[in-house]
Amino acid sequence: MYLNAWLAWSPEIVLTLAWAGMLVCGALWPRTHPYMRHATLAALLIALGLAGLVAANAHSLYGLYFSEAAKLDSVTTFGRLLFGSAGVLVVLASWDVHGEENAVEFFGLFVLSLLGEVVIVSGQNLLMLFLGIELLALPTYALIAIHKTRARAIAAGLKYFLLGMFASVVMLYGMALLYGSLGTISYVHALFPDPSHLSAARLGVLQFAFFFLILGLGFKVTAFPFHFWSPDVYAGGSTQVVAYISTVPKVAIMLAIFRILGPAFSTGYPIAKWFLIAIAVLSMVYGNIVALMQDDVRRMLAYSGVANTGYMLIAIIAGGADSQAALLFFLVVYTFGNLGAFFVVLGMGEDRHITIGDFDGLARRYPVLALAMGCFLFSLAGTPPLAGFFGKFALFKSAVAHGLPLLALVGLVTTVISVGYYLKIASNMYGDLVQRDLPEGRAIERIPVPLRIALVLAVTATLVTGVLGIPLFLGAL
Amino acid sequence: MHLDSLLAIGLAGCVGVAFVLVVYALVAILAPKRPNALKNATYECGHEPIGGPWVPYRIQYYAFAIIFLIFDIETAFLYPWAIVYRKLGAFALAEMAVFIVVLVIGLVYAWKKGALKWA
Amino acid sequence: MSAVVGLREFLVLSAVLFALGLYGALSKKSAIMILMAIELMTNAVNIALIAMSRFLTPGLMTGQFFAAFIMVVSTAEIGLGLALVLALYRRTRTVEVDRIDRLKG
Repeated sequence: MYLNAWLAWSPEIVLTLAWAGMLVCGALWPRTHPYMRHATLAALLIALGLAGLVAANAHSLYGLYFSEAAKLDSVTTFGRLLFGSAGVLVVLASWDVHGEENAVEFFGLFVLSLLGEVVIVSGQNLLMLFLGIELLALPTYALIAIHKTRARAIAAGLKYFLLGMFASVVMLYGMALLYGSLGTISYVHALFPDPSHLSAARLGVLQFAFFFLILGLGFKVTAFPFHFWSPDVYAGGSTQVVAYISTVPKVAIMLAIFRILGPAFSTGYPIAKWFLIAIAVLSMVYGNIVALMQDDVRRMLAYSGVANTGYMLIAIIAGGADSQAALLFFLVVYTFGNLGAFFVVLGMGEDRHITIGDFDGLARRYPVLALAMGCFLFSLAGTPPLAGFFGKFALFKSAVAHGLPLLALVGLVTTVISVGYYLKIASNMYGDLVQRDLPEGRAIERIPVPLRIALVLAVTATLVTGVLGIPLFLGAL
Repeated sequence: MHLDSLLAIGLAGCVGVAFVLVVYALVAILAPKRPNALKNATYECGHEPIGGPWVPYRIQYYAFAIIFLIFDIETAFLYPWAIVYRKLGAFALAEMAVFIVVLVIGLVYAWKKGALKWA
Repeated sequence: MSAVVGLREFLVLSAVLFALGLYGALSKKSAIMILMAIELMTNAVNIALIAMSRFLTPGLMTGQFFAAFIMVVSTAEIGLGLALVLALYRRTRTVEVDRIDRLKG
């Protein structure tokens, strides 16, 4: 049994050892600082390989571990592989930025936050969820603040920290109320019993618990009324960190929300369900409309992230196995599309705001970069040949299948709105192929090779997911 | 029985509050008041204060306080560990060893970064 | 055992503390004061958890363990928060949240 536990959790053990090794080596021998990125990359690749091996031996290794505190199943494996791949891309994108100064802190904190995400996804009780969220969040507060030049980054980090802590404690109050009304914190079996088995008093407390829990978690995934921090923080931190925190933590927490709340909505709890539906609809509508009005590309992506949270929430409200498949697929699409779009922004220059005007004539001067950006944007928008289309199609289909056709309709309409702002960038990039006298956009310094590799990998992932999505699409027809 | 003990506590509280109020009232009524500048000055407490008390402390205090705080609170985990130690035996010992090693890594890092130097 | 103070009293205390902390967190301008207000909210949660553990599931220690973990994590948070405040103070000489709003733009 012990040996099985060691094997089953070997990817996390490798990452933990890598973290410890980097911290000690970095502190004792400053000469090792330039090699932190190599160590992180190697540890991530080993962990990915081990996660694959564990998945290959699913029949003997999958199950509950640590007194039912953590569960190793296909969702955990999905999380490991997705977070690991995203981690590799982020490390490549950060290759030259933190070469010497702050290398230990940057990569050490990064590995810790990846570990937190696995805890979130594999956790089987509210305590594990809380610990995972904190292990994820604390390093990201510091990662936002670590920046070579800007005082603005520290201010953004502090703002993110204060609001994040506030959200955590609101979530904790929800967890305490849940514990009080249900008498357990474990969700190995469905956390929420059939509401008809509960007394009126407990049911009342439970509604409050839902409210607080969704409030806290909604903040972490930038759902509509709790999204207000994201544009400022995204504009304040360094681009590779923002690419990371806008993508992977959201995916992890979405998976956890699906584990906890997914089964609840099939058994009842109409008030909580309507609350979540309202949040999802508002996120989609507000995120897409405000994104349409943005000029700063990072702010635009922040609001597009709010809208995408709304799409993901559709799957959670619908519940069921087909929604889960749709959600997982959509999460992959979102991860690589969003990471890729931020990487292109990073490639265009770190020093100042990148506006939509900076994309003028990009296709003529940097055709490959423009093609990559087009690929990410149209995947995020959900245009047919790319992965995003299949993701959104599956999400809307599962909503219709579970009796929520209006929700699917809202999703469809807002998707059409979202094409507006994605097209705005695309038309700037490709506009002067048609019309010659447009103003010149900004010049780009040489894009470092690791970032190029990251971009190529992200494009590949987007295209491959698209191809893999075709059978899903055909099967759904 | 509960009511009795509560009554006793309440009575003691009332007497305590009343005593303080009575003493203050007596002082206010009986004491002669002839204030002058010398009497109103702060006395027997060292120098005259210069400036307000809300001055920023040396930034080193905060760095020390943060590190102390983090290592101090980790003892919260030692209590539950001590309770289950007899039951779990060697396993608990190994767990705590891992825990301490992680703490030591943090300490080594803080030390080497110069966080423990007072200057 | 005394039955004078029951679960209800603890939960009311917890709710009042939580509301006080909420008010503080939303109304104060200094980052340090906001941190303190959030700590108050955290401790309100701890009181609720321990009271529920004691009165609802007396055999299990779930709530108490939860509270212990919350204490440790919130201390780590405070450590990070103070470090951020210090770093910001060294650069801008202020800890007022609305004065560091150079974020916009």
